[in-house]
Amino acid sequence: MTAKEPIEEKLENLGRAIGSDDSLLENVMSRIDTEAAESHKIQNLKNKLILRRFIMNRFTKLTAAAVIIIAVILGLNIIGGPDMASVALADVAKKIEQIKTCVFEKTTIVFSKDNSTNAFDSLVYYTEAAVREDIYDNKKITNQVYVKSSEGIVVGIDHKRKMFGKMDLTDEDIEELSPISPKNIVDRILSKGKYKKLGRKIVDGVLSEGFEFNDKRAMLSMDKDKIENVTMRLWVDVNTNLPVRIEVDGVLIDNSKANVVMCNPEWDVELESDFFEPKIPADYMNSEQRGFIGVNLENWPMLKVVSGMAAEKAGIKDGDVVLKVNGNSISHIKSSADALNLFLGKVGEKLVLTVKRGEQIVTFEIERMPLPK
Amino acid sequence: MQSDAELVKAVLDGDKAAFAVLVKRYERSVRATALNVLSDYHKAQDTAQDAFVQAYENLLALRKAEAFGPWLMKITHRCALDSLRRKPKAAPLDTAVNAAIENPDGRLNESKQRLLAAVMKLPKAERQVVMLRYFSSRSVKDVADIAGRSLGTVTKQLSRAHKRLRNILKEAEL
Repeated sequence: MTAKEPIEEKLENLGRAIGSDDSLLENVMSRIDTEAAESHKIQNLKNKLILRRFIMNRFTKLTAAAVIIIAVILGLNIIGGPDMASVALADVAKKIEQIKTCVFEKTTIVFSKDNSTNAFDSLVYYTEAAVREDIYDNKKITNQVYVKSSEGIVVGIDHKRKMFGKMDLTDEDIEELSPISPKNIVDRILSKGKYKKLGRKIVDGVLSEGFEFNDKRAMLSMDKDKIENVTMRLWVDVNTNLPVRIEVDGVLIDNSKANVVMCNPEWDVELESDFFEPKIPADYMNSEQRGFIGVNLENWPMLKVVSGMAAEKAGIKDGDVVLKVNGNSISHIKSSADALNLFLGKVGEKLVLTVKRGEQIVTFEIERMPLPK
Repeated sequence: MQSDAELVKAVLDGDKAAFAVLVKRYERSVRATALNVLSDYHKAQDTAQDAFVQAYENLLALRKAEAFGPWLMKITHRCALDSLRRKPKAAPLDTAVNAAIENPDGRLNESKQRLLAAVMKLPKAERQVVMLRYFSSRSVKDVADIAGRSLGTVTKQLSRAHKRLRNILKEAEL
């Protein structure tokens, strides 16, 4: 038996010091009974999720996230309201106007109305004409969003699924997003800006002064009538007059919420001119071309068919267990998320599925179809 | 030993007892994560409760069931930050749970705090195995089963974590 390293002993001692407590389990389970089970949330959500996962348009979600970024950047200027008596804020507005580019870290948490939570960390690169957001998972970029307000387009790339999507911004979006120049925004917002002072404190290691304001216009490009309220807190370095941290809490009338925190900004970073040009590998599929066979993979490798879709029409039945996809064994695919990647393909392309039904082994050829409108 | 992924699936199928297993499994990891942010055992205890309840309520948002551990730690970290922002509660907390903490003010001593902070700096996969192995006193085999990784992977992750922790602690001493 190998002798324990000192670090292991220290860790064990720490574990003992952290201790355990039986009341935690009791309290958690009791709260779950009263808070969660009351409305049968889990089961209801599960039913919704089956459909949601199937038709989820990831790009729409990412686009919404990108819009929040812009909103917050613009928010820097919203505070330049009629009360410019505060030297700090007047100086912040001036400083921001001179900034050509910035890069910052961002954490976004979206609490959907069905109570699910979607959180991600990203790096955001901002210029007047375009915004790029790289979303990370375990130090790898998994998704990217490019918002080119000058050209009126949003491009989303999903590297995990090797897919991309392009979306034209509506005229209304463009109207909202085009005046990204801080000056235009100040002009637009100037008459109504109101804010509350939060005082001074150390934020991210920097002595900062805080300001808080509520303004629905902080959430741009969304239907304003659907926004219940938006609170934005801006922390400014008292020495440089540049923002240190920005926090935004938005609540929609359907109770979905977004919480965005941006921090560690770097200002006037040099970025190559093609930095905002999406680079889409040749083998990536355009989301518009994506076809579906209509199976639910929640209980992978067991299938549940979606009524009226190709799999059902081809003869797949609920409870069929997948053995092979396109002739390849699936024994190494353990999660439904990974399994989904095997099913990706364009409309019209065929998928060969070998399934076990009872004692029988049956093979089907299924042609992918567009998602019904 | 059921893996996290199996337990998560069972919870989603309505088996609440499976969630109790997850609570027991991650109790110390969650409390440690909260303690690192809050430096206060009582607040960490409250935060641990909040984190588990939130995890249960949002379990459907977990895209990879096998990533339950790191996902729960992320929720815990967020709950702890929320707790920091909130005003302190007026009512005194139950002090009976405080037995394991050495300092009567509900804080870890300095060297343990430093070690805990170092653990929190580990990459999330390593952090998970360290917490399960040492905080929850699980065997390496159990840790592998829980995390759905091979025995070899977990052994390597633990060894890398030891090295990393030694370096972090050494740097802190310089």
